[in-house]
Amino acid sequence: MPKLDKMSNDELITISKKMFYGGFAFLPFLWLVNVMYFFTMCRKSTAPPALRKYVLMSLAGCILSFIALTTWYAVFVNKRVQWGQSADTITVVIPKGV
Amino acid sequence: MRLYSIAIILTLLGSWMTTSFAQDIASSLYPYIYTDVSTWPCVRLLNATGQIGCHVPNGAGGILYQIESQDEINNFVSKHGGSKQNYAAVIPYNLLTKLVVANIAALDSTKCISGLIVLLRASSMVPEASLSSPDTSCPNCRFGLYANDPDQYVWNPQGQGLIEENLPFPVFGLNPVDTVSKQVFNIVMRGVAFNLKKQYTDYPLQAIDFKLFMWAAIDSETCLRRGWCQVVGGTSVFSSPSRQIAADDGKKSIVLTASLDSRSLFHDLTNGVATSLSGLVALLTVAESLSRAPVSLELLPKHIVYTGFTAEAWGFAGSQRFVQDISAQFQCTNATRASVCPFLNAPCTFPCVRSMDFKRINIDNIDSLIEFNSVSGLNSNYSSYWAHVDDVDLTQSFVADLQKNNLTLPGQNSQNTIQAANQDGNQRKLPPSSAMSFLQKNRNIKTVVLTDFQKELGSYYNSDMDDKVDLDLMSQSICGLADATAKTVFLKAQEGASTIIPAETITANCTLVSSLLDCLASNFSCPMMKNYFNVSSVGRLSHYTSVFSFVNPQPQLLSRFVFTFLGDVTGTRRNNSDLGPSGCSTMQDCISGEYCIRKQCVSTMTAYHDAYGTGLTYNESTGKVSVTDPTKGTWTESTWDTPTMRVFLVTSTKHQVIELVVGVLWTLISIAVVIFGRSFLKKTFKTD
Repeated sequence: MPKLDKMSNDELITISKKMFYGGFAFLPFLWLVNVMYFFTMCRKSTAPPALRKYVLMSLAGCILSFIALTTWYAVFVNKRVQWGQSADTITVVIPKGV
Repeated sequence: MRLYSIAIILTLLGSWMTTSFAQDIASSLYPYIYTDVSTWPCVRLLNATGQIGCHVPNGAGGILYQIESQDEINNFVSKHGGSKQNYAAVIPYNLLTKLVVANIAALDSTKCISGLIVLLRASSMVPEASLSSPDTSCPNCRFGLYANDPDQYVWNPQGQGLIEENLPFPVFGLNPVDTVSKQVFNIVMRGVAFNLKKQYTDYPLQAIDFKLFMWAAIDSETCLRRGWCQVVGGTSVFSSPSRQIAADDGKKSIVLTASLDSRSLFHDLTNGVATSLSGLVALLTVAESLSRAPVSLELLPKHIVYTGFTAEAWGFAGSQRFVQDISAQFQCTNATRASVCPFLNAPCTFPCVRSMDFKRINIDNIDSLIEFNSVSGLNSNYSSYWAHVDDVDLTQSFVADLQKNNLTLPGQNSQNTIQAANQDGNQRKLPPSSAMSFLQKNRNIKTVVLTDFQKELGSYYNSDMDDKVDLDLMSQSICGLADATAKTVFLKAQEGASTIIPAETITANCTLVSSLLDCLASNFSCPMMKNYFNVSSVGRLSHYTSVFSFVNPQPQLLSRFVFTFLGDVTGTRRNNSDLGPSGCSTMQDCISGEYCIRKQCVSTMTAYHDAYGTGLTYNESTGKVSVTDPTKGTWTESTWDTPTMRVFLVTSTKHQVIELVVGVLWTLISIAVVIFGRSFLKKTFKTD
């Protein structure tokens, strides 16, 4: 891939847009990549506002999914035993001994 | 360049050598470090409300430390309480009390005592005087007849309750009765002596580590669903000399019952001599005495039924299931099962049953019941037996009949008749017994539970130390009781007849009592057993119920013996030679309906019956077991990874930390040397 400085604004926006929409396929890390990849470009004053929009939304999406996943993890780990059968049906490898 | 290629070649050579010799190193180095020993662990069992027993998620281990008294525990806490070093305590059974275990659990959280090795009778290190029963204060009372009574009598107030505790640290038993256990005992005691000599401070010391991983957790319902546990159960046996007994023949029955097995903390070492084996021996002796009656028992006005129930210690599983099955309607649908019915010529394939003999026993026709509970005599010092009843008025004449026959007991100040347990004015009602299951269905049965205790179950109840066999004293006591009971039963079975045959000729065979006690408690491959089975390598039998297999139910050795013995004494040898010779070597040599017992074809009304908790139901169409009634017995046993114990030498933590630090420093220094050395050499020799 050519260096970011050499790409036109339109190309940058297209890539960011693709990464943003791609992240909705349960790929929160793609959002994170989007943010990290275009971070320096956004900081520049010449950056198009559309690029900033996509990067900011990707950041929001990334943080929200992080919170959602962490909450689900905490709930599942603590309530798995209590939920009994329903928890067993959604667990891939049921831990032995606990 | 040449240096690099040589380095690469050397690395490759080294890795080839390590991989090819790794196997050898693992198998040849391991025995130099570790000594694996056999184990007799405390394992995890589950029921509808939770789990009991021992489970260790990640291994545990520590330096072998011997503790012989309560004082030594206090010393240990003060001396080593704060240190980071782990210890594995070797304690005698009398120290396994609730208090000590609570202390250890508290220490365990600071990772001090990480495991226990408990020494039993054969180690000669357990003082007999300070023993206590590990069972709860009222064993199985919540499954008993008085579960809903407000003031249930507490039968085992001295009980430690450890048998129903969930212990988070490993506990292993050690009873050096045979070659293997003696070997393990020697290894452990040598390690302990070594450490003692070194004052537990002069490292290296002998240490032991444990692996005790149980798969199941939470409760029976969960582990059955996951398939990580198996149902605790076995096979009960029932038999009657009345080969034509039928549910609708209008004749009353007298039931004699005993428990076939027992329970303790270490299931491989369970013996239960005083607790239940004595009762079984009494039952078999009475059956044998009655078989020598002057008239055929089939002709008496009442039937006599002998029942031996398995898994009684687990919520009265055997008796509850038997009573449930004989009272319930039996409907044979012959629908398809998940697995094929394992019995040959089964009378019904859905529900799959061995025989329909259990439907011939009518619970409403049971007139009286005698249970042989703990009857070794040990609890009363071989001087008295007690009759416990549920309803005093109903059983007054029954107890009086029992008291008409004299006992000859070997103890000092022995009573010469069976005593009424409530003679001191306290009606404590029945102790935990199989009789309760019958009374739950039919409270009008005149029931007497015979025991050698009046007020408390005793310190040997369900204990791992319940393997004391004073053969002469015990057999004399049990023989005396069996004699009196057999006479009473013979007279009782004639109630209603026009002429009563006196019972003087009914005598108990004391040699039989002695042989039975010796065989079933100490050595199953005894001369008496060779008459029934071809056994040679089975020594001390474990009297733990073990697990029930629904797919291939095979009766355990003890159930098989009881079946064969009762079949022999209640059955009749074929005397009609038209049907062929009556001698045989296997069952196939006899006609259908006959069994080959002691090399003779015998026809008898003896049958097996499944025994597992009545709170569990086996769905034959799906092949799955589930908990259907949490208020009844729902015991299951967890599947486990092989428990291991291994002994090895260990250095002090300080030493290990120093080794680690030195190693890390060495690595860093060598990296630095290489880097600086390389650049120095480059500069000095100017090669590229």
